[in-house]
Amino acid sequence: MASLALRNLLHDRVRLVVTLTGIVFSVVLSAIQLGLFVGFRRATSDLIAKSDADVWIKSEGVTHLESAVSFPDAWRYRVLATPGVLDAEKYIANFGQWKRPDGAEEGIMIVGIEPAATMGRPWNLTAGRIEDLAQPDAVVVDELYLTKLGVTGLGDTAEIRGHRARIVGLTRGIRTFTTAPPVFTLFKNAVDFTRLEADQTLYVLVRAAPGVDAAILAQQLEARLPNVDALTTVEWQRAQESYWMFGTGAGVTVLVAAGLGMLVGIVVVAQTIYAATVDHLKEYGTLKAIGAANAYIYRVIAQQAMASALVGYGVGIAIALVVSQGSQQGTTAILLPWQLVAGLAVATAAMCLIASIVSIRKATRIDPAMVFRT
Amino acid sequence: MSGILVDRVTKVYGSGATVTHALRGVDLEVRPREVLLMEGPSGSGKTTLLSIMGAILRPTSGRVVVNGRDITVLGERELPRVRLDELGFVFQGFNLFPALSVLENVGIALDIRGERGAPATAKARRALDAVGLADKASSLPRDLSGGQKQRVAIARALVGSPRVILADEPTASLDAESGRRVMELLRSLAVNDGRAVVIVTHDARTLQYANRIVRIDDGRLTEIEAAELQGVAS
Repeated sequence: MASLALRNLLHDRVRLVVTLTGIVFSVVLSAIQLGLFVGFRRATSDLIAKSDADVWIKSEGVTHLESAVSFPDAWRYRVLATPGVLDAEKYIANFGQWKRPDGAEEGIMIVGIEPAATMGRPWNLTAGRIEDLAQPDAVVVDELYLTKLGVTGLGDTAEIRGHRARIVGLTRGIRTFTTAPPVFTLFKNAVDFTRLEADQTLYVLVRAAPGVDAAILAQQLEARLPNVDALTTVEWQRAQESYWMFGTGAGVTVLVAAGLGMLVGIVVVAQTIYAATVDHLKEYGTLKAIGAANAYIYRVIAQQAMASALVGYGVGIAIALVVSQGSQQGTTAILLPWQLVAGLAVATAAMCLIASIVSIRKATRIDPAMVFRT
Repeated sequence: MSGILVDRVTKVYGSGATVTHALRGVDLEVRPREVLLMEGPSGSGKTTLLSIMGAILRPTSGRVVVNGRDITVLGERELPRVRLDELGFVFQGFNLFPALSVLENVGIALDIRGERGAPATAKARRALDAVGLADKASSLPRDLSGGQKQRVAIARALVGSPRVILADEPTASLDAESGRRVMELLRSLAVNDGRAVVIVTHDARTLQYANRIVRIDDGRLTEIEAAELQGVAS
């Protein structure tokens, strides 16, 4: 026996389309905003998360990657001498200026790594080799930013603070939140590119020996060195994300937009389900008159809400996935991990159920005697 | 005891200067195999009495016993079960669900009971067959005539095998031939199936189908004698 809920939904096609449009809009808006949040978050911290380091050492009080303050690079040896440390490498991450072949300038994030570095290296190389960074003036940039940097590929040159920069490698998908593209180079080049003093470094990346707890090692290193913070990679990643996503308000903005998307969905769905309920009041009155308990009425209305949620979510998430896929070609990625997709499914169902509450109250308060009044 | 017993039932709306006595101490018994017609002017209390008998409204005072069960002492949550198990309703406006097929309209009464699947479908088909509309199972209500719609409504009322049928103006929207067929069907439910059938009506054409007729006027009920029955019917 077919469901009264589904039959009523399909019977009024115009209203169904309006309801589904509201849900689809809500799902797409929320998915894209949340996907942007995930994408932004990853962009803020990928240089940290993908560094392969266990501990980051930085000057005390530095709040985010791009605001580093230098300290003596000789402290690297104190780090190496610490029990539990397998390796320690100097590392630079700081803003610089890229002068394009056409003379225009673009802000960049200069990343300097030691020769034969095992930490902090570029990843997802699509052209060239990391070893090519040993060549004079060598830099590795991401394909997504070629246009912004005014270059086309391997072998192209530009200028960074009066120094020649030659592209020897390309990566794919290394983004930054600040719109300053990352430019990988050797530490010594980075010193020139960033006006760092020759005996200074901005970070020391540490790899713990097997079996060593990174958090404990970080505490020990912090105790050994003056005026530094030593954080595990995860701690430093979280601090970086928190600064850019919430310290600047950017994350709050997209989260608010996502919340508004859900709210719009609730309002639209509530309005259409309520209108449908009012239109079907006589039917609900008849159901009550012939013996349906309120629970039966709840089920009918809830089934309508859930069916709408299922179809609307399916269409909406399909659109969002297409948009997400398309965004991978750009510098701002909309990322939809399965947890977000699943969470949005639950949220959509909850949204539609909440929206149906007013209708349920209306329907269950019908006086069944109304069926005798024609 | 089968049937319905109405014992000194009153129904009062409002209070003070706006008080309305819809029913004033009504006593009535409807027995199995009986077709009882209730007639009276508009606003006389017919529908109120039918609603109270149907466990849809509560009386202000008095007692209503349906198939041996005093429904006036039941809680609100128990009354839907009484309507579902003991009573079948036929409404003036048919009250079919436009989005459901004829078969689904009949089956909705079973769905409410939790009866689904092939057994429920078979039951609904038998009910449709009993009213002569088995061939219309897949039609929608909009494709039926008024008389056919009312017969579907009767099938829906019957499908749960209630012992009492309550019908509110079942022929009001029908032409003479359709009305005749509906009344013959309702009478057969009493005579052949042993049910108690209560019909509220303004339609003089229906009086000939009654075993008993009661008149309600200003909330008071009087029984029409057989001799009067002849006069009313003619």
